[in-house]
Amino acid sequence: MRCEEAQDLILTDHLDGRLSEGFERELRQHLAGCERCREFLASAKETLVGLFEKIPSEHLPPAVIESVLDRIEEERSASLAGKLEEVGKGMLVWLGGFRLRPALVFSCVLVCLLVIGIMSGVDRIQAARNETRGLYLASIVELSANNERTIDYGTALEDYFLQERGES
Amino acid sequence: MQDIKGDVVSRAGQGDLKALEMIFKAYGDLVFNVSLRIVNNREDAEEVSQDVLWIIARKIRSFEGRSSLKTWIYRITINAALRYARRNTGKGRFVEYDDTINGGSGGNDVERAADKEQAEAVVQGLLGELSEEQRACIVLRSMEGLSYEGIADVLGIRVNAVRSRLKRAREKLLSRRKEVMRDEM
Repeated sequence: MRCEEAQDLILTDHLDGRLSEGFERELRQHLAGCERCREFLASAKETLVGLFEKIPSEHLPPAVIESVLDRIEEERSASLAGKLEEVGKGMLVWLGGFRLRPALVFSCVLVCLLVIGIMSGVDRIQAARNETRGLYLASIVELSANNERTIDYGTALEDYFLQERGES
Repeated sequence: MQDIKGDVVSRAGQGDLKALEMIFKAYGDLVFNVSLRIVNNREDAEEVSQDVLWIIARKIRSFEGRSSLKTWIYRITINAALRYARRNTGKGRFVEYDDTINGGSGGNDVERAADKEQAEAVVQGLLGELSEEQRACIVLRSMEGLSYEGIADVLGIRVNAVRSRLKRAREKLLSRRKEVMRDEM
């Protein structure tokens, strides 16, 4: 193995512990006889592994998470308000359409009045009919009450038989 | 990291804020750490994280589970952080690597590296020497511990491309570190 090849392996798979057994053996043999590559390995370990291992892990300030969650909630509220506003605007446009067409509004009002008028007229006729019918029924009841004492079938044949029996 | 189950994801997709909050809490640190290493500024990283969480909230409904939720969140984070870094004039926010070394309180490199803060400054300085794509690869591999396959999945590239980017990035990091150490001596 040449020095260049050995140093390439040191910088990659050897430092990262993923060199195959065969290459690892070859590298060890090379290092045993090459001081320059041994120094290279020591320097690589110190700079590329040792220094990085000393770096402490940092913590994300909780305020960052809180601010993102607040932002999401704000956006949701704004989105809901926006939808309501859209609905409101839609209604205004719809009503605005009527405002811009007075003839249409006038026609609508007129139709409504006509419908109301017709309906109340129909009610009155119905009430009058009911009243007439009531009077008629009352007169029948009264008539029946008067005839209870003198049974009269109202036919000439009946009068005849009654005379025959000497009841008249 | 809290384990997120499928029903939490589907509830979040239906607009359940509690479920969304659970996802944010489970992956918030991951989002922040990756963002911080790519944009190299706490305020900017918070801004990127906020954008990422917002994107998650909006897109979770369309998450189909073809990759894991974690991979999906890594992908969104890397894209958002890289976009932010490019928009903010590349290396402008990074402290020069020379300054991170010279700003130390004395002693040799090993002693300084023992101090976590100093190590962080050195790493951030070194990351500033890389292109955004190389930086993303190094952050995912050396800081987040993703496999080559995982990185390929997040970045949408082949495993060989991951290996090649890592190799170039590490060569650059080593040579820059050697340069600075030589100048110091």
